[in-house]
Amino acid sequence: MVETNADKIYRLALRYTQDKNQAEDLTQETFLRAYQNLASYDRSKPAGPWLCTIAANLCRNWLRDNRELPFDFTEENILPTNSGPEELYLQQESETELLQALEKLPLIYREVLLLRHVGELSYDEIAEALNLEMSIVKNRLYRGRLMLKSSLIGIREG
Amino acid sequence: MERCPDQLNIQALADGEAQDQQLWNHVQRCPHCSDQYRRLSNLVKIADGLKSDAKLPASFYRSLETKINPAPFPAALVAAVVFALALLSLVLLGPNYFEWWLSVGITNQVGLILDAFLDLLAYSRLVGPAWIIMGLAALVAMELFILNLIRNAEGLKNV
Ligand SMILES: [Zn+2]
Repeated sequence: MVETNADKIYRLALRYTQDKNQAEDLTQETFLRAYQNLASYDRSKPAGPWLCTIAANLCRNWLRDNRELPFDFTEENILPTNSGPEELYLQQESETELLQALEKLPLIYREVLLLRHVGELSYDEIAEALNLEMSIVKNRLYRGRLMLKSSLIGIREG
Repeated sequence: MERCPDQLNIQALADGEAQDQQLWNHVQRCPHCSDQYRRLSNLVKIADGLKSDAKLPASFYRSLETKINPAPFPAALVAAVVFALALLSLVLLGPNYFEWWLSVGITNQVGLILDAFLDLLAYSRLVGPAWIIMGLAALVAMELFILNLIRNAEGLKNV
C-alpha cells in the first residue's frame, strides 16, 4: 500500500502546501493515520482514494493553521468562457505560473482540482472524499478550472 | 430539435466520466456542443499541468517503517524482573520455599503458565506496555498461587 501510493500522496501534499518538507511530513502522517485506522478501511476498494481523503483532510488542517486564506474569487473574476486560441497558449504555461495561479483559488475549488488532477480521483471518489454531492463536485471542478485559467491569464498579464 | 446537454455533462465527457453514447453522438453532431467540448477539454489540459512527477526520498520509507514498527517494548526484561522480585520476596519471607520449589520441578500447570508468558511476549508488539505489565503480573500471581497449592498439597507446613 505504501510503495504504490506514497509518491501520489506526496505530490498531492506538495501541491497543497508547495513545501517539500511539509509535504513529506504530511505524507508520513497520512500513512500513520491510515495504519492506525486500518480497521475502518474497506479492503474491497482501492487504497488510493482512501489515502487521498486522509491526506486532503490533513493538508486542509495544515493550510488552516499555517496559511492565510487567498483572496476570494467573485463572479467578476472569472473571464468569459469563449473558446479561443488562448487555451492553446495557456497550456504551455510554466509550472511556477500555474502554481501561483492555483494559490489564488479559494480552497474549496483548489482541492477539487488537486484531487482530480493530482490525486487522479474519479468524480465519485472526490464526492466521497470531500463528503459532497456529485453535482457540487462537477460544478466546483468546472468553476475551479475556469478560475485557474483566469488566474493564469491574470499572472501572465502582470 | 434535439436539446443540447448541460455543459457539466459535456465536461464529464471531456473528463472520461460519461459513458453515454447518445450524448457523445450529439456532441459530435452539434457545432455548439462540439465547440463546448473543445473548450472544456482545453480547460482540462490546463489543469493537467498540475500533475507532478516529484518522488519521495528513499529515507522517507525507512523513517516511516521505524514509526510504524517501533522497537518492541522490552517485555522479556520486565517479565524477568517481575518474576525475580516475586521469587526473591518469597525466599526472604520463607527461606525453605526455594529449596522446595526446586525439589518439585516444573509441573504441568506451571508449564501452561510459562506458555502464556511466551504468548504474551509475542503479542507485546501489538498492545501497550501497561497491558503487558498487568498481564505479566497476573501470570506471576497465578504461578505463585499454583505453586502454593502444590506445596500445601504436599504438606510442607514449615515453609
Ligand atoms: Zn448541442
